Amino acid sequence: MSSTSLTLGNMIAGVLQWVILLALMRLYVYKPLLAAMQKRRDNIAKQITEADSLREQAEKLRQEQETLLKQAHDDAKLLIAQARREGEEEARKIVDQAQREASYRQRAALEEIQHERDEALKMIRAEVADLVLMATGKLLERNIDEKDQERYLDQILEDAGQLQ
Amino acid sequence: MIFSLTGFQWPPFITGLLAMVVVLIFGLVAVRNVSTAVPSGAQNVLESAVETFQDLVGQMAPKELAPNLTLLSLTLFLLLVVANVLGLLPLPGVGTRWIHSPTAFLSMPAGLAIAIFLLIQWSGIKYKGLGGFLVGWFWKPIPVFGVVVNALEQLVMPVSLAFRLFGNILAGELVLRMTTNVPHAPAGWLVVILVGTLWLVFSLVISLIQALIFTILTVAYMSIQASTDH
Repeated sequence: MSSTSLTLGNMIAGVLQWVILLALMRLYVYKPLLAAMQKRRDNIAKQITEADSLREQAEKLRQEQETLLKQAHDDAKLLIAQARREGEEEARKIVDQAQREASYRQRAALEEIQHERDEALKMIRAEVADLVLMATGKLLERNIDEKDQERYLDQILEDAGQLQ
Repeated sequence: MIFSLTGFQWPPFITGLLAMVVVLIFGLVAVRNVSTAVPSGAQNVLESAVETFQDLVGQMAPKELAPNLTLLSLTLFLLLVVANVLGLLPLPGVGTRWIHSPTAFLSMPAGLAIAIFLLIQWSGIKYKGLGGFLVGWFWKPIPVFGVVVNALEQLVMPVSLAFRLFGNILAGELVLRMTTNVPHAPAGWLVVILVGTLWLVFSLVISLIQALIFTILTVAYMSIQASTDH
């Protein structure tokens, strides 16, 4: 028998070797290998999905923060403007009050001056009246009755008022 | 060529077993500590082989046939590669009476080819239905007489599969032996080194290519039979 012999036993043996090898490989090699490959594929797919969702979240967060920042910026601007306005108002108030106070004091001072002046005039008038009475009494060297005195006094005061 | 019902050749049977064991050990090593992260070493090699065959089969075979056909053809390919290379190894005992490629004996390739022939007919019946299968055999391309063409085509296929593999591997071994049998000729050692080395490399390539051709043709024939639009 040589290489070219065709023996049924060897033909069947060759096929059986293939079939048995296939069965063993399927059970002990391909099954775990294919499972591992499938698991890897799933893992990669999952990771890609996760990465996508993370990127989306990050993008959303970034936009949110941008919005917040912009809002904060606007708020700050608004606050500054408001503070400035309030400051100006306050300053105006202070100035107004100062002016008011100043004018009040001025008026008070003027009134007091007027008052003093009136007082002084009154005193002077009284003194003048006494002096006039004295002088007149001396001049006439007689007693003037009370009625006359009053009349004269009035007359003199009137004259003095006109003198003023 | 002698056909024998009762005879048995032990050397190709034993080397066939050896090839089986080598493939199985390689497979077991590949899935030992199987990794779902980045594969390395034997696992990486086997995974790329699996993916290559998935692509190859996926391009030709119907979807429902593809997963099984992938494993079937990959196993056939691995077995044939190891079997083909076995007779070329520079190891003690190789090339003596006992150790040759099992595929350098006609029986194993012929047995495989017949098994594949039967598988192809089976997949034809399974995917076309018995009616479609018979129409394919007897009515295409012409009614009734189409069977002559089809029988010729279908029968030539396993014969050519078997003889192509057997012839290539046997020739590879025989010529390799011849190159080692010339040292007593003038400058014989030079012939051994130059021609022998060159032929060894060539034979290794042939071993791979023949295993691949045998496998791809198997996939192609099965896919053609199984496709209903043919």
